[in-house]
Amino acid sequence: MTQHAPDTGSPAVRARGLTTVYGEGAAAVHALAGVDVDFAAGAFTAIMGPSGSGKSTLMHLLAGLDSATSGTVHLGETELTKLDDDALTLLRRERVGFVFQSFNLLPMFTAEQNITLPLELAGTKVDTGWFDTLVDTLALRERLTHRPGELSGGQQQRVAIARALIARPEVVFADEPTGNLDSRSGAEVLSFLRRSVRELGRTVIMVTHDPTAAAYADRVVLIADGRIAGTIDDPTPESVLAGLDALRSLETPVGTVA
Amino acid sequence: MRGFVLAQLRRGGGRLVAAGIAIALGSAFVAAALLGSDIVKQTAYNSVSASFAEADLVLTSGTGFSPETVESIGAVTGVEAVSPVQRLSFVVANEGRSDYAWASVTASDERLEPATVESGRLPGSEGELALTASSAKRLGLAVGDVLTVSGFDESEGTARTATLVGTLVDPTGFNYDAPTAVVTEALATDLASAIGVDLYAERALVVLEDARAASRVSNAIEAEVQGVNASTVDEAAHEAVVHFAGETDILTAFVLTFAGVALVVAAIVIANTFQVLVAQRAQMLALLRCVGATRSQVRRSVLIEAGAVGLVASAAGLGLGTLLAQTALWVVPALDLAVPAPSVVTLSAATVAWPLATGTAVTVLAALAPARLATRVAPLAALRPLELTPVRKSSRVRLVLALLGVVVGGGILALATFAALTFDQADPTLFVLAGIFGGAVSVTGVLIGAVYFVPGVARMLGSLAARAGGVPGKVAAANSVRNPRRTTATASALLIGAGLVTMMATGAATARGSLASLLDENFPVDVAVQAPWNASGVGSLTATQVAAVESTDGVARTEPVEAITVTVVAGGDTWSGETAYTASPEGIRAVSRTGAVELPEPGTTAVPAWMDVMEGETVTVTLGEKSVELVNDPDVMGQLWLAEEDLARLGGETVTSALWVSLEPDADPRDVTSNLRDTFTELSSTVGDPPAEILGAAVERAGYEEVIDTLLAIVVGLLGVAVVIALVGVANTLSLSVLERRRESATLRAIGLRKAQLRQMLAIEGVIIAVVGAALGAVLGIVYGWTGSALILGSSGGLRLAVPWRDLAIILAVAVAAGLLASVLPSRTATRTPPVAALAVD
Repeated sequence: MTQHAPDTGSPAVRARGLTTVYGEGAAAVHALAGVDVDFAAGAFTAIMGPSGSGKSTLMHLLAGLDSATSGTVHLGETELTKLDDDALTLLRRERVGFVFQSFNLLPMFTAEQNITLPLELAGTKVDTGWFDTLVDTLALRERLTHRPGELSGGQQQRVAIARALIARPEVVFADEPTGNLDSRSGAEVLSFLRRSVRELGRTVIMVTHDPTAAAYADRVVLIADGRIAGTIDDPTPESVLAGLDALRSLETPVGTVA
Repeated sequence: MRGFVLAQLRRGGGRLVAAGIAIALGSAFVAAALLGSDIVKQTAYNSVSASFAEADLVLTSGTGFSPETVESIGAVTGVEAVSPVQRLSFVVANEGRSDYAWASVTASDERLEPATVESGRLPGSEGELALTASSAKRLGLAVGDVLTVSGFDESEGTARTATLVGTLVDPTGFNYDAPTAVVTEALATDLASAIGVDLYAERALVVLEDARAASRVSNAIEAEVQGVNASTVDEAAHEAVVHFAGETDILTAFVLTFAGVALVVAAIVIANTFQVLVAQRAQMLALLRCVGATRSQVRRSVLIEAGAVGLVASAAGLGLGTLLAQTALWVVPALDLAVPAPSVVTLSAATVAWPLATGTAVTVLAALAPARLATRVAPLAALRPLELTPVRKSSRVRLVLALLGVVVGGGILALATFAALTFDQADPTLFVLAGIFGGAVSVTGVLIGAVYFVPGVARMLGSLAARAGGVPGKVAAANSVRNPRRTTATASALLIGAGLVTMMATGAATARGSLASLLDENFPVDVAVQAPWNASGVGSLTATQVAAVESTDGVARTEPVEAITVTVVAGGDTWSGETAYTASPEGIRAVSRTGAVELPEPGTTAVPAWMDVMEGETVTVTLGEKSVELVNDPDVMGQLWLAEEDLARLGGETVTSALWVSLEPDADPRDVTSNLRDTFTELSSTVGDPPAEILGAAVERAGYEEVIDTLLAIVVGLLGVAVVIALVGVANTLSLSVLERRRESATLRAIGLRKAQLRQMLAIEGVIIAVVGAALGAVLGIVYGWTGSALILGSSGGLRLAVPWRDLAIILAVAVAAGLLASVLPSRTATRTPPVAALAVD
């Protein structure tokens, strides 16, 4: 298995001609209309776009959580679109990590139990060195015996990040990881995500609608109306905002611009 | 508010299905019990009124109906025909076979003849007789044959011959008074005077010229004929049914008790459901409170919802109960029971109202606590993000009540048991009643306090599951105690059912063991095969019979008992024709159950107690010319026993009057005795050996065990409904939890839990809850079963407390299977949740 690939040349995730249609005939809605996109390994990429742009749908397909109407998704050499439910489950267990907006920790388990859950599912032993690295990087040492109910939102999300990274997945998908956090905790979580890419060599793909959050990424993929609308390398909040504004002006009929 | 309730029902109706099923089963039970009781009464009514033929009035008289009385009744205006119901009992015999007949005399008017002819005709002229078809068959008679009728003592010259001119339809099960023979008045009078009795009629039937004038004519009859009481057929039948009704009502009450248990269990399931629903709707309820709903409106909304569910479910239950009763009626004719059961169920106001009322009332009552919980939702909760409601700390009041119940109830129960065991001469009824009261109070205490120990036991079981079941086991174990109250309530429902079943099984096992020990004392051997007595005294078993017994499966060892007829002289009294027994002391010890049977030593004898001979007195036993003088050494066996040597000194030919048999330890005495019976019946028909009597502990025990097993089967069957409802409750709790944990399930799926593992997880959780309920129920059931047995059987001595291991194993197996089964539907819901749902924000 690929431990981590700092070589940005080979993409970790690759989508070609990805199309998702909801409904039929006249009522058909193209959530995604032929998306071609690569996500570099060992990089932190943000997917951005306005509500309804298809960014969540794209992430679901990239992570093997949903199936596309047509097109292909490759995780490394594996074509996800050909796998059945059990194979997808095993793939998620071993090669993909998730960070959710609502943290989604199991309330009856301690932080430590939550973190090691994916390893237990896979039946593999905990690599104590890696566990310690994660716990120290995410500053969770003091919190390991606490249950989610006893943790702040930021702490819970850090536990969730540790859980996502514990199995050394090829890609971590983060869905609005700061959506339920105050700005300070949010900034903290984003720094941790960036550190896990830069210092631990992980690959993170994050969906967000917050330009400040996107600015933590190495690269921003902009999406609008189910199509890739552009990319921004080494983004800053300002450049991301500018990119979004450009999208907005594209959407707005010319005549109505004040 | 009504709009809100309707909307809730429409939206969450599915969540109430299980609660509805629970209550429907309970009220179906009530409906079936009431309808069954009605059917029995209706059947009895039909039976009785059939015996009145086409009569309009039934007359009774304390002094009977003489020909003069009958004549004066016939003279009353409006009476068209009158016939006294004259009865006589006698013996009918044919070729050595005889039967008892409870005859009536042919009615003077055919409309008043209750007997129905099956073949041939009713007797018309002197010396004719009709018998029921079954009686004629027993006697081997066909229409046209001649038979003997006589009084009970043939020697007194009462025998007459009669011709069988017809067979009658057999009377129905309930009509115990129905005639089994019809004779002409002449024959009846002749026979009655020969026997020396009067032909007596305590009833007369009347046909009216105009049936509508019944009340006027019955008044006229009562006025004109002294001592006669007239009632319409309907009144008379009702009066007769009241006689039955007493017994029917007790039976109905017995069955309804179990319906009550089922309803209590259903109430727990309902209370649980509404508790969960209120918790799940907390935010919506808070919103309602925010926009101005008062507490009482919120409470009412829950209660109205409960009432609606209760009413709908009870109506379904009534339908189900009616269907069950109707199915029974469809089946009855096929069983050929010869009872005039109605062909369709008749619903009365009571049989409709009670199931509906109890079902609805139980549902509303069960929802009271959840409704109160709903009023506690603060309006502010609407503004907070929805979090799982923290588990409330159990109140101090609950702890006090639980302890009070257990201590006080347990104390009364213990005292009653102690008293029953100590004062073994006293009537145990008082102790039993006190014990039932104490038991009920302590069980209530245990149930109130269940929340203190059920989660602990669930945790213990869970830790086993967590160790063995990997991640699914671990998550299931944690989930099963997440909501201690919910788990407790669900397990408690099962605890009640499993506990009662275990209690009954323990009681039955203990009764079986105790009876066995009592029987061991009274019957020294497993089986004694006794030759029948004949005209010359003690009978003898044939060599064929002895060989047959020895080769019967399950027979371990046999020992012959030799007998001879002797004359006994002791203390001036002489008894001739007594049977003296002897056997080999070693052989008898070997076959006896206890190995402690002592036969008289040479020179002594055991004289039966009724001869009233003192211990140590001299007894002379004579056979023909020879006699021996022996010292009396009384024995418990109640027969005259001699040592082999002493009997040999008398000479004479002994016969093998009995075989003492010991059985293989693993043989079922029921099988062995029934095999023995078959063997003897066969030998009697083939070789002509007279069938022997089969006695002994094993036979007695087989009889008792059959009664105990039948009673246990009936009670367990009746409790089955409560157990089924409790299992519906387990499924219900799982489904409600699954709905609540939608996002968690999705998260687990997203991070790598396979569908099969998710199913496994719910199955383990279901098994944990079910096994906790069943195991605790079993423990409590054993304790209460033992106490109950001590209360009831303690005074008879020989109490042997037993654990019904096999039944316990079955109960646990059922619990495991049920836990698995209960998880099937919730699993479907859970696995349908896509992993994407984990990303949803609500």
